[in-house]
Amino acid sequence: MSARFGSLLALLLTTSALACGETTKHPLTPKPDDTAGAGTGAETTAGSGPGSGGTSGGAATASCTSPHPGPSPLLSLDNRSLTNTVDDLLQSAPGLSAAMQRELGRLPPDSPDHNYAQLALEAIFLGARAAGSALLADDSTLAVLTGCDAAPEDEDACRERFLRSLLRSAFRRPPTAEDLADMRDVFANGQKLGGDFASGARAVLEVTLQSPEFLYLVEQGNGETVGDSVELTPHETAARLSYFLTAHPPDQELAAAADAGPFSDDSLEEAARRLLGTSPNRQVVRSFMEQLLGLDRSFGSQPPEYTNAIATFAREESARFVEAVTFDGAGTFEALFSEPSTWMNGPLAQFYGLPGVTGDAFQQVALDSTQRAGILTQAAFLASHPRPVLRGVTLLSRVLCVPLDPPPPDIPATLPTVPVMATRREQLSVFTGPAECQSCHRKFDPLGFAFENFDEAGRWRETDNGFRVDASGTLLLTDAQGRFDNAVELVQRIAASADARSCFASNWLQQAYGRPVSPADDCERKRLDAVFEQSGGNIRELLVALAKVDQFRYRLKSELSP
Amino acid sequence: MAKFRMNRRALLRGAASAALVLPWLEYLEPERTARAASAPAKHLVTVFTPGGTVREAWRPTGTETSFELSPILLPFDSVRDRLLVVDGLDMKSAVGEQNQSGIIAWLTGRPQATGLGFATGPSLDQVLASTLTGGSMASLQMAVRWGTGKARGVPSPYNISSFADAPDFDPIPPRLDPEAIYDALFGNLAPNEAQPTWERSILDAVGKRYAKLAQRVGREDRARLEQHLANLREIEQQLQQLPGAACRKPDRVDTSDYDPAAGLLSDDVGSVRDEVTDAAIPKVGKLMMDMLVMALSCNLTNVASLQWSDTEAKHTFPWLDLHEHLHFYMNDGGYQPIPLTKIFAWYSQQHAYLIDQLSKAPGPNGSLLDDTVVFFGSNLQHPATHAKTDMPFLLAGNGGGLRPGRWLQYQHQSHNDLLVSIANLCGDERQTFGDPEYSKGPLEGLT
Repeated sequence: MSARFGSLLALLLTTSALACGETTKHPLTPKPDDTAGAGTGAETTAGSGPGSGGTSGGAATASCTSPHPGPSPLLSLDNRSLTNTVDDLLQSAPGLSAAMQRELGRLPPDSPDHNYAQLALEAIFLGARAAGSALLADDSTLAVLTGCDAAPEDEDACRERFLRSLLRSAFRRPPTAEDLADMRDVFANGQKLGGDFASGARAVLEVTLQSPEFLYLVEQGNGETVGDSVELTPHETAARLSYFLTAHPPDQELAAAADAGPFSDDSLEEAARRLLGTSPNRQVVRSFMEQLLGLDRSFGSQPPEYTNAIATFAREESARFVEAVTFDGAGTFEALFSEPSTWMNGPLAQFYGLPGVTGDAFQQVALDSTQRAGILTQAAFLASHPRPVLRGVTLLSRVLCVPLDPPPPDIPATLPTVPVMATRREQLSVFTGPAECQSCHRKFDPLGFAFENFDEAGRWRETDNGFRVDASGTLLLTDAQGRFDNAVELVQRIAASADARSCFASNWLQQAYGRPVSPADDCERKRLDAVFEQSGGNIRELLVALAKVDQFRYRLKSELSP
Repeated sequence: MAKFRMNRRALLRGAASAALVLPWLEYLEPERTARAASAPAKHLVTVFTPGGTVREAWRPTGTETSFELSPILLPFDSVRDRLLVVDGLDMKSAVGEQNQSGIIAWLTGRPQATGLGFATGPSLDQVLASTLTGGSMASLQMAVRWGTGKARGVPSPYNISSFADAPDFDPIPPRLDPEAIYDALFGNLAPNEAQPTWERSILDAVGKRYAKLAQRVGREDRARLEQHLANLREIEQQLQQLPGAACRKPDRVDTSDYDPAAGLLSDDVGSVRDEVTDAAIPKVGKLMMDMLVMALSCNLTNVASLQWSDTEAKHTFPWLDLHEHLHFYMNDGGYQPIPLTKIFAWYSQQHAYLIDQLSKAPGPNGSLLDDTVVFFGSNLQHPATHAKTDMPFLLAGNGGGLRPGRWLQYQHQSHNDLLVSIANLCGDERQTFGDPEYSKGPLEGLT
């Protein structure tokens, strides 16, 4: 066994060392099948003629003047958007919505590539069926949904009204004649099987809730060509914008704007500012940060004091902090990573060992700025990444966008003996001491060690295993590089880093796109970087700039040809 | 160092995906995160047997995964991969009369109400009935040869294990008459009916919309829509095999020799005998198990319970050539472990049949048993002393990620923790169940 793995291991270690050794002009990990020679965005391949600026060229086009939406895969709704969309569609019939949500409670975690897993489809199928049975169980709901009685006198008129209003909301665009014709068939079939008008409505509801136009952001464009792109319809644009900023389908105002005609930069900006001004929509930054930093996990290995209740409070702390910084406070990237205040309630303050906060209500508290500052020093981040390596890797890859290869699948047969009487840092340093380990570990271990003043659950400590903690180190990569003595000094470096800001903007772009960002997206990245820099790193301004990405208004022609 | 779980396929999939940077990071976390993702169980079955066990003849020997089945558990040999022996739990919440408090606490995890009353909280099956919805009945309770001895055929703290999920936690008496149960469950079901016409037609119409759209979109979008279609087809196949093959009427059995109301004629000490009815117990028990399996298969309910008699079981066992009642062998006639072992091994044989039938019934994820948790329990451990430490509990099935095929030895934790775990397996995330004094959170090691 050792012989068999010996050579494989050597190979893997070599490749990983090479990959780690590369200097990176592009901080983001390119998509593997997208990298053909795309080491630098500056070296542009010629020929951006029609259809050639597609998915596999890799390099950016020379000019940023024509639309550059980049690849735009068909996106499914994520779990949060799906449950919101069901609620919104059925808001006049909350019983139906509740029946479906019970089944959607079993949705598996979001798939990273925006597809529905088999289990998700089952939950949706069962959910639609439950909503359908609920419709049948109660004539008053039927009346609310269709606007007529269970046994209406003029069935045809009633059915038409029901189809038009349901499909307009569910498909997020006016239904086509063909949609209506299809659904009339569904209605007729349901009516035949169930023997009454209500069963017709039930069938339409169940099919609609599972239709591609409901479950996906279908984008077919309006046929107008601009360069090698096709314009999206205003309804397609409105849906993209709305799901990105609110995780809901377009509200009435946005839907009306879409009905009125195409969006311009100005009208998109206006819509974005309006949506961001509504307090429920503040969630967009909270869920983004939760995903980016992986704040929503919990581990069984944590100290008993980090109970489920404390974990929930800690996530709430970070969420409130992020929303308050973005929408009420300085609003900047810098503040997000270095603000020496946070939000706590009594139990959480007690967990942190902070006196003077009581009760279950959250309040803003000032922090000892020599110990904690910004989101990375909060328990939600620290406890979600309890070990130094995890903390370091997360920081380097997600906050600084320095790509790393996966660790080798097996570790050398002979590992150094780890001293028992030592801090965790000292033990780990011996363990990862061999040169083949250090080729990667030297990049992220110091970042993790910076947080050694925080235990696995994120509580402050001066000693570890009985020995004094050393949280100093040197960051080797990016413009944040340099020496630091502790976590606060490190996060201040990150807070002031242009590379970190650019990484943040790129991660947002990735969120808006629903796919990884590649060097081919440099035009959009440069535009976002410029807005972000000019606004002093203002996150709201970044979001408004994101509302105007070309991908929300255009799609590559090559992606529309069958 | 923590043991890392690296899943190459998941990693490759992740690498090409749109997760926020470095998706492989997820795969470095300890294994527990992966486990937590198991789909919750869809069905709960509880089975009660009276009188505890003969522990020396019950306890396996060996280790967690490699053990010898004891004489009482030997009948499980053919289904041992589906059986989880849950050893060493104490029924601490069983406070009250020594027989009654056991059957009450078994599923409620709470003391008996004062003055020889019923329960002080709801039973687990009733609580989970609001999670495990979807059947036409919220839950189904059945019992064989019930209401013997002091209860004299009527609901009493000697014989009720299900209690309503709302104050005053009313006792829910089981159904007793096999003919009546058959008619209630399967009377309206045409033989080999249950073509899921409605569901088929809905899926059909949904599929058409995907197929139609797929014709008009670009290559990448089409691939996604076709994948969606393939998944829809899988649901359709599940529908086909589900009620089509699995849901059928159990064969009718002549039970005219069995008097479901025999309990009404009983007396305190079990001196009134009905050996004709008693002789029919195996036949009626098998029919009830068959009906239970089909009730799940046909989506009539997702929560079912079966009681083999009551806490006293003052009936005879003529098919085992044992002509005294259970309580006689427990202590009325002096503690007699040899006949008791014979009786308890026979119960094991019935349990094994139930497990086998559940494992043969097709379900959406393989067999019905794959989505089910079965909980076998009793009102006490030691037949003579009525001790409730080291309870002889068994689980079966793979619902909620349960990992059977093992012998778990606990150190006198309260059985309330097992009730919490079963709730968790069924998708109810509560962290305590029953009396909080005895409930410290879910048990480790079940999944």
